[in-house]
Amino acid sequence: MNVSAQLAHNSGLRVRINRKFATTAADSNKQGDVQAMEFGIPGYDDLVWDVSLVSDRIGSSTQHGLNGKLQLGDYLNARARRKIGKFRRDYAAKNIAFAPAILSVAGKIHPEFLRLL
Amino acid sequence: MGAAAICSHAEQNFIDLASTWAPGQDLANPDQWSAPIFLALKQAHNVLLTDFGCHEWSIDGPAPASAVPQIEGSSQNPAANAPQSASRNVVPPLTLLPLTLLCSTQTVDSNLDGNAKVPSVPAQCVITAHLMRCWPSHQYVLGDISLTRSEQTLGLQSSQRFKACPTDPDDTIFGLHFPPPATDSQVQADPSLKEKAWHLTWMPLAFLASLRPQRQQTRFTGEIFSVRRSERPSHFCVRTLSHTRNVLARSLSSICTGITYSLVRSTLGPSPAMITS
Repeated sequence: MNVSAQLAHNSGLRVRINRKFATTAADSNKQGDVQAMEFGIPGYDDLVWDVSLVSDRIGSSTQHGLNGKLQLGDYLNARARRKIGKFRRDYAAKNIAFAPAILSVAGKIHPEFLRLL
Repeated sequence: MGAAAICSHAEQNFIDLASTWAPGQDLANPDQWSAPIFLALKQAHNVLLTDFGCHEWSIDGPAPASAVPQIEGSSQNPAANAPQSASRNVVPPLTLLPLTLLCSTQTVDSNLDGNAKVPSVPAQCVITAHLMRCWPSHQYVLGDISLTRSEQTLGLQSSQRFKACPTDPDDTIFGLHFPPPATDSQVQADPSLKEKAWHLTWMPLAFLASLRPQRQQTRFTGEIFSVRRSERPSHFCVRTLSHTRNVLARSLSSICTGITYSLVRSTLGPSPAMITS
């Protein structure tokens, strides 16, 4: 999170980290990780992204040498969908765009984070 | 003199390793060893003795005949083979130093008479050659080796390639920052447009290119390898992970800077390395 915020700052953007925002949703404690002011997305004032790490393996290490079971399916996209469902609509009401920034422990990346980079 | 020097060197290495990784152990008394690294050494020593035709050095002389293994496939009857082929199939025994003498070979050396053979630690290449001669009868070990995790890790660390602008505009909010993909009708009219679509490539291990052991910023400092007895292993792990995190953070910054630079170059000059068109 700090690295992505520093990158945005080095790119000349004004950045806020872990800033809560007023929302019409019942859960008023929602907050994204990094807010870049005036990012330049048409129709929106700012951009907020939320950094999340996903483990590629789940469960205990019951089988020798595997250290958990490898997740099948598009688990990065599933985490991204969950983040979008949690944040995007509330931020959009404030003219703020939202993007998930999803990485896996092994280093795989969600395409939307790569586009952001 | 040369053998004594080799023994002294190997002995000193053994003592140094023991003082670092298993301090407090009585090196001359293997029965009282409790450190995991010494227990593993005892197990390996026993396997070499029982399964790979090695024998321990003794002051009495060469190995017993029962310790000489036969290569699988060769006849057990010496008369069935010619003398030359028999000599090829019989693996000469490998003499190992007893565990009790690993730290005191110089003492034994000084007590030997003129005819006795000087004990020595066999070189690694000698041990490897001996094990490979015995390998045909131990190929069942291959069945116990699992490559599943290696294959999975290789898949996780392979490069990823995405369309810069996905077909469904709802899949991204950065669609206007990339050239729109060609429609089907445009591709039909000009098939080269399909090849010219922008793609983004991500290589999880690309950061390794920026790591050099000679660089002060990226190499592991020596202090993380010098674990004191009073320090808990968890502290060692935390320090290592913290250092690794800092290195990765710097590497990610450099990678991202490279991507940004590539984006700028893509508008000004030839196609960049990270973004292929």
